Amino acid sequence: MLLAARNVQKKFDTADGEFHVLRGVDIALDSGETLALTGESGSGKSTLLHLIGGLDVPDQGEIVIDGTDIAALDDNGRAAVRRGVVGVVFQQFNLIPSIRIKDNIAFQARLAGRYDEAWARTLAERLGLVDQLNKYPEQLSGGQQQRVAIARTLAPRPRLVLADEPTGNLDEDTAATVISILLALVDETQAGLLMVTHSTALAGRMARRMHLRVGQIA
Amino acid sequence: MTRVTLSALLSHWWRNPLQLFTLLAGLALATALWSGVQAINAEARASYDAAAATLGEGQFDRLKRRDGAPMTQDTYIALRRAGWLVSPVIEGRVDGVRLLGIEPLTAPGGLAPRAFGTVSALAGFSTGDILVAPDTKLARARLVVDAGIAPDTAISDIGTAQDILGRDGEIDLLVIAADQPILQRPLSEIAPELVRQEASTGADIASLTDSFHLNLTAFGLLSFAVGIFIVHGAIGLAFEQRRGTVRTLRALGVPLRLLVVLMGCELMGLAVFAGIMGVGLGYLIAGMLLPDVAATLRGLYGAEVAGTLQLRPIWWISSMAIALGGTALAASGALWRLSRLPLLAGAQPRALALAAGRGAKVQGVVAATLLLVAGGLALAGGGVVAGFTLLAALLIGAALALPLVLAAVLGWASNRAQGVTTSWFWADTKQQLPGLSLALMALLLAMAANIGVSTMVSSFRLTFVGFLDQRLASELYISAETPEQANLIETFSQRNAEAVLPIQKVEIALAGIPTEIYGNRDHATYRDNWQFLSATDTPWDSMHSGTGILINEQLARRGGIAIGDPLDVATSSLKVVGIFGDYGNPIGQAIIDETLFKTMFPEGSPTRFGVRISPENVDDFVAKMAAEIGVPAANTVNQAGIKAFSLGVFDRTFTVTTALNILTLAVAGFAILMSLLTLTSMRVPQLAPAWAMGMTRRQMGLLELVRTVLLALLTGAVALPLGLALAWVLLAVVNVAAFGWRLPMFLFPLDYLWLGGFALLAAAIAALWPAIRLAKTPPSDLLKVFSNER
Ligand SMILES: Nc1ncnc2c1ncn2[C@@H]1O[C@H](COP(=O)(O)OP(=O)(O)OP(=O)(O)O)[C@@H](O)[C@H]1O
Ligand SMILES: [Mg+2]
Repeated sequence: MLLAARNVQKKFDTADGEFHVLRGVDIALDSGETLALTGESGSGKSTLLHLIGGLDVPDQGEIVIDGTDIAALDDNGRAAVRRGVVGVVFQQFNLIPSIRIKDNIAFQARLAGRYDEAWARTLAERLGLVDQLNKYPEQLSGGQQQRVAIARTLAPRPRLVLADEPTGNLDEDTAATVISILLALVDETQAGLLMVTHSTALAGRMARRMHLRVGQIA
Repeated sequence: MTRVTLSALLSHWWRNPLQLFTLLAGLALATALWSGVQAINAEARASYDAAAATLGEGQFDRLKRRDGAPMTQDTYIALRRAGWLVSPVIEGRVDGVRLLGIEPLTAPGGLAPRAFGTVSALAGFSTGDILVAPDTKLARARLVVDAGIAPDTAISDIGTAQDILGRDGEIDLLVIAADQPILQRPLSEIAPELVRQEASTGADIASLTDSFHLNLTAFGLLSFAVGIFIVHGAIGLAFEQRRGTVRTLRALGVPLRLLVVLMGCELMGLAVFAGIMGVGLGYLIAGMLLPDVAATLRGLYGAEVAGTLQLRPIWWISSMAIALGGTALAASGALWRLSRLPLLAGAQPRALALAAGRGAKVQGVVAATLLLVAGGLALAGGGVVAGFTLLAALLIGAALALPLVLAAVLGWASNRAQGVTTSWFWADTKQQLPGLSLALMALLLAMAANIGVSTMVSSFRLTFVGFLDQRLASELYISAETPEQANLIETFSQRNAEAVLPIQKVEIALAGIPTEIYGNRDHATYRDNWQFLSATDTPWDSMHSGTGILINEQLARRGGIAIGDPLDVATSSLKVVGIFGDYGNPIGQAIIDETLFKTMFPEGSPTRFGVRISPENVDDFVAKMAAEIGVPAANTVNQAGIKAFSLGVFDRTFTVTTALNILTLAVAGFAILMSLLTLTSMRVPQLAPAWAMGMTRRQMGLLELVRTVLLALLTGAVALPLGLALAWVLLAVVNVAAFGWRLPMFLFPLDYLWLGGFALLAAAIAALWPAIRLAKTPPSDLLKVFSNER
């Protein structure tokens, strides 16, 4: 089992008291498997993805990736997981504005110490970014930036790919193409993919599907 | 991992060179301001130290003839025989260089130059070597350069000096070694014509020049504070601008600790670089100002300051310390906040106004406490240390109180605002305040310092000019070389001018304090022009009747003498009938009637004369005097010339103060610029709704400008009373504690107006660029606020 999350709970402190976003979520995912996560806006999809990605810690429950409970890790441990084990395609891209596209693509792979130039080149070609490599993020359209974010995430060949609405900024046709590429690439690397999406069409292309409602899997 | 992360961090500067420039410039300017002031102070002080070390000035008591004339070898030998450990000194000027002849074998340690460590050096000296400072222009053989000698001074064996000066066998003064045998015959028996001048007063230039340095030191301290504020702002900027990048880096798996270490190292690297630039810049500033500073000091006090600058390790170190220390201080706070930042909320603009809430209370309490301490010290008074503590408490207290005062004013204004735009403006201004308050504090200190120091310097100038008018009331002054010539001058002037006023003095001790006592002729010149700090109803009548004496403020303060007190002068007792201001004079001064003076000190004869004559006849008078009695024009001084000279000296002082003023304000303006730049990037979300609701970008840019000028204006309103309080402390507390006289304080509303205008200008210029940028914010940026992306 690549990912096994059990009874994950998360609360936020807000001005009007505690806000219970996740009330005991269970997820299981194998290598090479794809899973769509749907749910209405504000249901906690991004929050769950952040917890699995080691960006935040759950209040309760365990998140075991490759045999390690990342909820029990310290700051450094989680940083190492983010670097080497999981890759996140963020809803807001989070590119580094001051470096070129080619360096953005290579960045996480270099951090993880697994930079493979040929693979990075392949990613850029498949995602249609070859002409953009020497530009800076601000010079790219939203859809192009999103593809850069995908390339960056896949460059270190992470065991687990998390994607938060990776096609939210794309038109339907482009979105379909990008998802095809993403699925193909994940398949090639035998990674697990957990993708948040609003689109039922896209969700239908994934092997499994989960719906999040009032903080629980429906 | 380290390399990739570091290059991602550094790439930010590569892509935003302007931001890098503001950061470096902020750090460099802060360092430059501090190091410039330090350099000037250190350089001047080092020159005095060299002077004091070579001349032993202020270290030893000395004997001089009462009439100021040279003494003979016989007097010296008689004293040595009677057991007095004294050493002869002759002074004179050659080629504009002060030549000092000493006797190395009898000179007390500390008076002789340090170079006498070797026998051969001593032998060379005794046979005619002349020791000079590097670069001294003296056309003589056998010059030996010695870095320990004061600038423009040469030291030789007394015999050599007597030869050069053409004054064989003459001695100007005898230096008395500190340790003397117990069995000595009293001075009055051996050489009754000699008077003893006590150490640390006779020619102690330090206490006077310190008055000027006080001015600069106060400036230095303030520029230090301003510098720290700016470094803080610059570092805050560096972090604020890269908040998004830092968050992304962490999300991609860069450990927080590595980020903190890398950013710390990066900032220290930048600080080193900027610090070096700042020291260089400070060196340039000091180099440009120093000729003026040197001239100012020389003109004011006769102190020699080398008009050149050396890079001294101590201010290298202290300047780098402010760059690095300031950066470390500011960066540690920012890094601490960074390390506590939740990973997912990092890119959100900080809710600055909210964060300020709890801190405000603490800040208010601290500010109130400090201001109370300052008030207490002002009432209790006493001592230089207390004076400076008072200054520090006052300034820090006021700086801390500023944001609270401004918040109160803005809150009041927004409550009374009518239109939609105005109330939005006030509310928005209040929300911006926390982000701007550091820069405004810097501006407050800069303005207060300027007001305080320029009030001090201007008060000094006004007092001094008034004092010159009083002291230099005669149109022409003539010096006599011999008593015979003095007689000739007096009779000639009586025939050819309206009045002649002999100036005669001897140095004695009054109430144990070395004092120059003058014998004055009764004339309207004195009665009309002199002003007393305090006096009886008829000071002049009492004095000229031979029963009264006039004394200067220094003598009154040091001797604890008040009007009406009796004072023993020579053989009789006189009543103090008037106390006059005598600014810049280190020793006591007293005036008695001419007739009484002649009976008390029969050996004295006038060496100078003041001549009353209508100004247009001065030239004729001088020409005629040269032709008839052979007194050269060189021996005359036109009063107008002296005044012009004195004013020139002050103008140079002003050049220095003005330059420093402008620099401080410019640096404060820079702080505002940096704060605004930091804020604008975070302000888009606040401005976007106003824009969406129909306000134009141009309007918002204009309001931005108005806002900054308004805040600067409010800050100026606080700075004025603070600056005046600062001046009062400098003049009435610190100066009295340090020098024994109080400078009257004058107000210069026009100057303050100029200063205020200049500060507003600096603020407006600083706000201009951010305002233009705001007015040109692409609508897409504003729109982004409403979409999911940021
Ligand atoms: N840091 C936080 N502090 C307080 N509340 C938060 C925080 N982050 C998220 N929330 C709240 O948690 C809930 C879930 O947020 P989340 O971003 O996970 O929703 P989502 O399912 O991804 O929605 P969307 O489809 O719109 O992206 C929301 O109501 C949000 O307001
Ligand atoms: Mg979401």
